[in-house]
Amino acid sequence: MAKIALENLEKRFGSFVAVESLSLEIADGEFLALLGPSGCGKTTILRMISGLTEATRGRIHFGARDVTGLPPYARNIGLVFQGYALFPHMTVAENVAFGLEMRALDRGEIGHRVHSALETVQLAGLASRLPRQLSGGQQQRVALARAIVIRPDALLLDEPLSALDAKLRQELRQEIRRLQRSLGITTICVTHDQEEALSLATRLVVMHHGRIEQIGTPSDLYERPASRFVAEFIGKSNFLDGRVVAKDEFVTKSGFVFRFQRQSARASSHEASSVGFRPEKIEIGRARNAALANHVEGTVDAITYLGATTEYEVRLPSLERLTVHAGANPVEPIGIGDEVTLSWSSEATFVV
Amino acid sequence: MRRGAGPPPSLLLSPAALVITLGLLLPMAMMFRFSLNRYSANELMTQALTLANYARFFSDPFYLGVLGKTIAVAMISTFVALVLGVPAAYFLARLSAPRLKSALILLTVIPLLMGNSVRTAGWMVLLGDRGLCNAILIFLGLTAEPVRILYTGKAVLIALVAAILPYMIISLQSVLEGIERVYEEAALTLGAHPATMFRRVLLPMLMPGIFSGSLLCFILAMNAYATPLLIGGPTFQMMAPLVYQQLTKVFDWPFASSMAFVLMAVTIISVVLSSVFVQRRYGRV
Repeated sequence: MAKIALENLEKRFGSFVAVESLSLEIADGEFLALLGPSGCGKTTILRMISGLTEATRGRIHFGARDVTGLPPYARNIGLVFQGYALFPHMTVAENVAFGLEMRALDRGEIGHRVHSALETVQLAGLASRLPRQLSGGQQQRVALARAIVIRPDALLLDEPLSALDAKLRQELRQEIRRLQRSLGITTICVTHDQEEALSLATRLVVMHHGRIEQIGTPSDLYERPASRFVAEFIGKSNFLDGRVVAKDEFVTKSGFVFRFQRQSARASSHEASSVGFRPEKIEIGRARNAALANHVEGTVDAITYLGATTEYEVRLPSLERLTVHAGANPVEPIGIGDEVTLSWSSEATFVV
Repeated sequence: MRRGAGPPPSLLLSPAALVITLGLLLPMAMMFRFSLNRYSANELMTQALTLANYARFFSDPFYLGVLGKTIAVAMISTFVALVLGVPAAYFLARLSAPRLKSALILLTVIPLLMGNSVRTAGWMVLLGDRGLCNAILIFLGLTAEPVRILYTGKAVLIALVAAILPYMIISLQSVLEGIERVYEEAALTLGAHPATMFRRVLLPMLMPGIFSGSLLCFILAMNAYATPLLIGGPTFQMMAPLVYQQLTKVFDWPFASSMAFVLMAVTIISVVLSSVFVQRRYGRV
């Protein structure tokens, strides 16, 4: 277990820049998620940390150890692959024991540690099974046990839950979090699934085109997105284009004036930018809520019942469309074609 | 599939079954019958029911020697082909440039596109006393007199390995293609040195390919005809040419038949034994 530091890390494939001069520190015991669409460079970063891909430039440190030039087998990492990559010709116990055998531990110690690792992932009873006799969720647990049993400096997870169905994913998410906390392993998880990243990690790195778009806690990213890309990638957002006209005032192209409280560093007051607000921060009703700073009137175009919430598509007179998420049981019933007023606060409004 | 609709699918097997019965099983049954007959200098073959031909084969050190040599040559050439084939197949399977890959695979199988005897004749030109190899050796001053390569066991081995290597490479490559690289990477990240990774992960997963490739090569080498005949010559004899010689030169059909059956039996027994061994050692392949 150690702090991991990436210094100006860069990877080029020919003229293509997969990762561009990236610096990042992951604290000892931290759970960090690298989040981004496919092709954003997140997997390349993970592969460079593990040593499977050579960095074009930059350095990687595990604690005081500079591992940049080390091959993967000398780095002491636990990597859980997307498809698990369990050795098909070895039993569950043999799979878990593999890394310990490579470290030339004695048989008793190996047996003991394999058993306790399998107990940690609740698979002690399946030690003598072959991987193909296990369900997807069980295979994932074996992969996890195989990675943590060697007490790695870093636990690296590559889209760890993408091959599982929704219910199992949720269950394993809890388990991975519990495991990571109790062991205190520095963990980096690569995922394109924002829900997975938000629920697992204490800190998120949003990547785009090989660069870091924003680093922050889940609520940082959600409440204070640094760019339109982040706001769109994490959760749903409404956006209207326009420009900032005063310290806290934004005028859209269609002429609405909105008050905002947060402005990303990139959106300077004179350049064209966008104002954003989350669908669930908007109140929908026939009358405006005077306690809130921003209001707009429109017509309900579509209603989608989503269980916990109801989604309304509202068309503004300017023909722009906004999405509103409201509680499933509104005080006053709203139907398609109804004229409504939307209200939301300036705190819930950001300019990117 | 719907039951009772049209003829049973097994009917599709019948043309092939017919060809095998008429073209293979029937002549083999006849040949087995011949092997129990008796040879006479006047009538060539007289009806009998005797095991004398088999007894003659197994009591004569010359014939036993040829059988032993055949088995040894087949095993060694298969092993050499395996050792040479694994790196080549690995390289082919892990090659990501698709054009280069298909070009190299084509190059691997090109030798199979020409006749065995043509290829063997090529080896004679290379390995003969006045062949290319000796010309180069003499030119470089490494030897004054030509080195005898042709008509030795070494020459037969070289030519046989070359003949069976494509089969080995293709068998191994097809299995390696199905082994994703991620298994190798998993072993490496768990701390396995590449050599250990190869031994503990790749080799066991490659076992089906090793088994089928070796089987194919061993059978081909055991029954090789043109290569030992032309390259081994009169001084290095193997079973298949010997059978032919008994059949066409000595006209001892009963003895030739019994030799052919011994060769076949030994091949089948080796194949069965090795498959039992491999299954015990590595599980089902």
